[in-house]
Amino acid sequence: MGVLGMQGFATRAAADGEWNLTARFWTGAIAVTVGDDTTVIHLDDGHITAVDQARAPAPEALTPGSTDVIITVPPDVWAAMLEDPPRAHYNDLQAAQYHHGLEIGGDELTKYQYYPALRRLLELARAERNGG
Amino acid sequence: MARFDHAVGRYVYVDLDGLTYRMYFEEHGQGIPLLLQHTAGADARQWRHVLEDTGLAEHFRMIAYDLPYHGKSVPPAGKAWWAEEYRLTRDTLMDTVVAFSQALELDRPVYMGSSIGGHLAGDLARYRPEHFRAVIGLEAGLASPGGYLDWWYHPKISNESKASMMMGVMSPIAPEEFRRETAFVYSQGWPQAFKGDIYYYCVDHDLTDEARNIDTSRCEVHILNGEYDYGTPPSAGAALAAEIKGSTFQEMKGLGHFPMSEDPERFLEVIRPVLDGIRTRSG
Repeated sequence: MGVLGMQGFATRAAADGEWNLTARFWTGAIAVTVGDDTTVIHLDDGHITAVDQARAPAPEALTPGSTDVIITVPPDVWAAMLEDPPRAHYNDLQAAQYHHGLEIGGDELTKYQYYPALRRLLELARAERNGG
Repeated sequence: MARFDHAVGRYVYVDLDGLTYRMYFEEHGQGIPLLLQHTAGADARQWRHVLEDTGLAEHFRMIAYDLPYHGKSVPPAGKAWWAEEYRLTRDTLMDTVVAFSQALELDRPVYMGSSIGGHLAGDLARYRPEHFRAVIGLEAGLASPGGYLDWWYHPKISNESKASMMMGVMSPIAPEEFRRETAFVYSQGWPQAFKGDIYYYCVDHDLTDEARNIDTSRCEVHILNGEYDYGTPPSAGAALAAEIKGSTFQEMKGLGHFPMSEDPERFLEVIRPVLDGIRTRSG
């Protein structure tokens, strides 16, 4: 099953110039939990080493407080965020955090440092969902 | 043959609180002076598209300026600014805009600004109405508490992150090249500037108990908020306008927090009638 829009993430990200620039030097993981499904993207020095599909919540391998970021989204909100174009306040992670119950957990410093990569992750997931 | 923009830039010296500020501005047009204020941590490049509008230039002298510590307006001499944390207050911001207007000998200009500039529109109408014939607040509100964060000025976070977060308050249907340009400008600010400006935006601006005292017979007030602005959404602008008798409010469909730079054509379609109305009432 897996998280909507994340099935082909590794391939899509590896070929994406913006992702490769914005994720550089990141060693850690990104977990995207939508309802009962979680996708975990493992990174080593900015390169994706594995993308695991798991049942929610995020696996114990993730370590809040390290350089991991955990995004938790209600399924209906995530589906709206993947619309193209998205409606107002579904277009961005922080917008959905403010208005629609999305949560960004894990390491806060890493979230701020790598917000450009997290923002791109959403755009790549939206492109995957819509065949862009 | 060289192709030039219409806007021309120059510097003016502005005296304020015992210091002299060398402020940069760009202008185009003639007629009613129209001051154009940039957002937090940015500069007057956000107005470059509006400045080129030949229709507006027939009736308005459009003037987009860089606040001190922003863009080409370098910090003043005579102050150890490098040894203290930059913090923009409401009074300093209001006094700076009024002093800049006086340095250029403008006659009761129209003021328009977005974000901190939008909040400033309400504050100018409340506390400095004698200097302006009208104010236009874009992405304005009564107050915006909660966003004054240490993360906005942190040695481990680059300006690229701030710029990326600004992408999220823009409309996804705005032309990508202009959204990227808006973020590009954001990535180039003095590292302290954004957080210092946010102090005004999130802490020192609060018209909750004062907006009702604004007299629009002295200074017109027009509020417009973009559909995609999640920080000051249309509901925030509407709440501000509801407190100001005689003001106007409009939601800008398909626009976000930086309407003038993220989608200039769509913004101009919205703002031209507002400016035409001010011009008509100005005689």
